[in-house]
Order: sequence, then structure tokens, then C-alpha cells
Amino acid sequence: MNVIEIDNLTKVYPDGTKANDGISINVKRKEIVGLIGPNGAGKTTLIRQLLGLLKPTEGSIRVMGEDIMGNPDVIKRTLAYVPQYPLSFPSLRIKEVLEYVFRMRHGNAPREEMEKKISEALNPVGLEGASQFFGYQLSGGMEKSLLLAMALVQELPVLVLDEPTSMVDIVTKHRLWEAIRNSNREGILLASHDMNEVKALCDRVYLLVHGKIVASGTPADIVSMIKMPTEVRLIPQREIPSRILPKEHRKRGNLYELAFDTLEKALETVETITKSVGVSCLEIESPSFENLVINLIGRDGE
Amino acid sequence: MISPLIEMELKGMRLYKTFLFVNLLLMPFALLFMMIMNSGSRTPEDISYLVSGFIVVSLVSSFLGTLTNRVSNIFEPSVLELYSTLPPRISKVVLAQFLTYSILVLPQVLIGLVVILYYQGVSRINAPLLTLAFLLAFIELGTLAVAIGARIGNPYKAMAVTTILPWLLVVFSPAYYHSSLQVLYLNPVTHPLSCIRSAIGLQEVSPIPWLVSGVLTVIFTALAIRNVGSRYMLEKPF
Ligand SMILES: Nc1ncnc2c1ncn2[C@@H]1O[C@H](COP(=O)(O)OP(=O)(O)OP(=O)(O)O)[C@@H](O)[C@H]1O
Ligand SMILES: [Mg+2]
Repeated sequence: MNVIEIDNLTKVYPDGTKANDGISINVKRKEIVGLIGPNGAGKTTLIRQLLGLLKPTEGSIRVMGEDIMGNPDVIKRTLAYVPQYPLSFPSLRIKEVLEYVFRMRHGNAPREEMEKKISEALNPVGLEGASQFFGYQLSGGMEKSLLLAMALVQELPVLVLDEPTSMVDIVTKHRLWEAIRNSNREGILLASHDMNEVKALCDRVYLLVHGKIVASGTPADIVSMIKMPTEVRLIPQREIPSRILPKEHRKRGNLYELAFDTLEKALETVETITKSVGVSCLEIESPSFENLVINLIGRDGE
Repeated sequence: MISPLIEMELKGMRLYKTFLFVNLLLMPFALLFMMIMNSGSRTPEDISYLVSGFIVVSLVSSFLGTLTNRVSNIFEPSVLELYSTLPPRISKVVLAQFLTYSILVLPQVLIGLVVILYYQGVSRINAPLLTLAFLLAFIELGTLAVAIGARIGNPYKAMAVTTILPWLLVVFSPAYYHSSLQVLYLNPVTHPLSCIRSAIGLQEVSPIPWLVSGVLTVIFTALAIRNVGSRYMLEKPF
């Protein structure tokens, strides 16, 4: 059984905009799955259908094996959600917000248990020192951290996140990633713009453009899906025999500048050079994951 | 299950305590005080007439206005998203708000009633009818607020409505003046006002305001339920 199974999902808005077009994706047990795509790709539209807020024009959505059309309450029972935009609860303290969420979820559990669960949700997101802060005292990043803590304290099997670390500084970002990674859910679906985030967290990625899935696989798969020119600059310990060198190369003093079609070929050659003559200085420039995705999306948009 | 939601709504107001104190207690009671101080030359009926108007104005400005605003906040897409995965149904959250603001406006209603009792005397008041009149007024105005708030779904836009609507409803109703102008009957506030006044012996008990109030209550309730109970909350037909 898949944790989330979306099958041939199509959403046409009343004004005719086709925001999702035959999307099929799934989240298997213990997987973190990323959904990446540019603005307007249809990520939020997909999530809103998953949350039961929009009616799919076509297709089906199953969560923990149950069809959400037939069992809308499966969403409230099994799924916790971290929204894209920070919500503020200006006159509630962080601790009170979490107490309410906990009590909504677990009724009248003993106070000690509640305190324990709340601190277990606050620690990983780094808010343990701010539990008495009022909502109006929180920064945008703290508000996002609180939203993640609210999702964690419910201890539900499925976690859905829409840009969980937008507006968050880099240190906090790493902390939140750690919290998501260690949250030990049955399955996690993460919509994001942040390629580093996807690379840091996701086992698999779907690339969504204009409402369609145009690529999927591990972050590494996506990198290898497309031939990427790679440049290598190196200073060998001894002269490099010319049979090892690629066609495209230049030598300036000790420095060799080599060009390859793909990263794989570049790495192979570098390995050969290392083994045969040794390398004392090396610089590889391969497009980042981010550039790659930009490339993919750019190509597909045409 | 509903009390934690009410508690949360009340706690959420802590920041605005002074604002609420002024709006829910200080200003209304200042107004009531002036009415009473100005009562020397008036008959008890006149005073009761004004105070019953005061009660309905309180319901319109404090209860309908605030409730509309709060409900519109819940119906913002981002808040709907959050609640879609939390245990309480939206209808329950809205019901909690309805009850919270009913409780908050209660002091104005009760003190107004005490003043009326003092001037009218207990014997002229038809208690069961008065209870029914208040019940109708609360439900009619509350469901109207819910229907509007859910429809607008944005507290900033709702603000525009909640600053103008109560004024219109108050100015074009015979709350503080006598009038038999036909157009005033287009105002949904005119009818519960008549119900309350007939229950405290200020006017004949006639079935018409009761019928109209009843029908309006049914219509507003249906609208509120349609907007609050719909299956796909962001799938709005407009
Ligand atoms: N209520 C609506 N009615 C009509 N079209 C809509 C509606 N909501 C979104 N759209 C359109 O659907 C498309 C997908 O929007 P969506 O918000 O799902 O994108 P997104 O991937 O979440 O973008 P972002 O990264 O900016 O959050 C866009 O073209 C958008 O304009
Ligand atoms: Mg979005």
C-alpha cells in the first residue's frame, strides 16, 4: 500500500485554466518525495485537492489506502500539513498553540504527556526557548518553525509540506530539514522551489511544469537524465599522456583545461589521470542541480 | 469538544482587551447612561423604546460586525488549508465563534433588559415571547454574519463590509426613532426589533414581524450552512 497515491489527477478551474493535467504520483512507505516546479506549475492546486479543498476534475487520490472522495475524513485522521504561508496567531503563546493542537488531536491526555510531546516537537525546530512567546513576537522564520512543530506534535503518519523553509535563514533551514528527516513518518510529500532542500531531503522527485509531470526519479537520476557539459581544470603531478586527454583540451603552463559532454565522462577521465600521473590541483564545474532543473524546465516550456 | 475552541477564541483576544473593553462595555454603557440621564421628560415607554433599540444596535454592531470579521478570517484559503487537516470541522469552529461573540455581547443585552424591566415593570413583559424574540434575533443576525463572512473569506475585505453594514442596518431601522416608513421593512433588523418590542409590551403582538423574522432566519441559516458546510471549501461558485 502506498502512503499517497495520486492517479491521473486533472484539475480544470472554472475559468478554464488546466492547472493539473493527468498527474500520477505516489509516495511509498518511509519515502520522502519532492514535488518541484516553477511558479504556477500547479503544486498548490495539487495539494489543495489532496487536502480535500478542491474537487478533482478527473482522477483519484488515495491516502493510506483510502480514497479521499469516499472517505474525506481520512485526511483529518492521518495527514498533517505545513502550509506555504506563515500564519500568525498574534495573541497566543507558542506553547498554547501547541497545547490546543495537541488537545484537538489527543483529547484529555495527561498533562505530563502533553508537556513531553510539546517539548519533543519544539526542540527539533529550535523553538524550545521561545515557548512563552506570543505570536506577534515571532519572526517569519519562527512562524514557519511553529507550523512544522504543530504538524509534528500531532504524530500523524503522513506529512505534507508546501515550501516548509521559505523565509527561513540557512541555519534554521538545516535544523528544519533535520527535523523533517528525523520525523519518522510513514510518508512525506514536499512541494518546494528550493533545489538544495529537495536534494537534502528527498528520496524521489517529480518535476512539474505547466501542470504535467515532465520528469521523475531520484535527484541523481534527474541530474543524469540530461547531458551536461562539464569543465575540468587540473594541474597534474606529471605530464599527461595525450591518449588520455579528451579532444577538447587546452594547456597553459601546468594547467590543463578539459571539456566534456557529460559529468560521467569527466569523472572517468579525472579518475584515469589520477591513477596514471596523479593530480595536485583539481576544479570541476558541472551545472548544479538547480541549473539543471532550470534547463529542463526551460527546454520543456518551449 | 466545543469549549476548547471557545477558550481559544477568547484567549486569542487578549491583545485587544482594551479595545474590547471600550467597544463592548464602556461605549455602549456610556450611551445607555446618556439615554437614562435624558429621561426626565419622557414616559417609561419612550425610554424602553430607546433601550430596546439600544439592545438591537448592540447586536448589530458588536455581534454581527465582529462575527463577520472573525468568520471571514477562518475562510481565508491559508486558514482553511490549516484546518483541513486539524480535527475540528470548520462548521464547529464557526459555531464556537458564534457562541463566543454571543457571550461577549450578552452584558449589553442583559443590562439593557434590566433597564427595561425597571421602567416597564415585570408585569408588562411576556417572558417566553421575549426569549423567543432574542433567540430569533441572535440566530438571524449570527447566521447573516456567518453567511457574509464565509462568502468574503478575507478579513480586510470584510472590514469594509463590517464598517458600513451595521451603520446602514441601524440608521435605516426604527431603533432610535419612530417611523412607519414602508422601506424600513426591507431592513432585516426592523423585524426582530418589532418582535422584541411586542414582547415587552411596547406594541401589539402581530404575527407579521414574527413570520418575517422566522423566514429571514431560515434563509440566512440556509445560506450560512451552504457556505460553511460545503464539501470542497475552496471550490466557490463565484
Ligand atoms: N482559483 C483559481 N482559478 C483559476 N486559476 C487558478 C486558480 N488558482 C490557481 N490558478 C492557476 O493555476 C495554475 C497553477 O497554480 P498553483 O497555485 O497551483 O501553482 P504553484 O505551483 O503552487 O505556484 P507557486 O510556486 O507560485 O506557489 C496557475 O496558472 C494559476 O494561475
Ligand atoms: Mg504554491
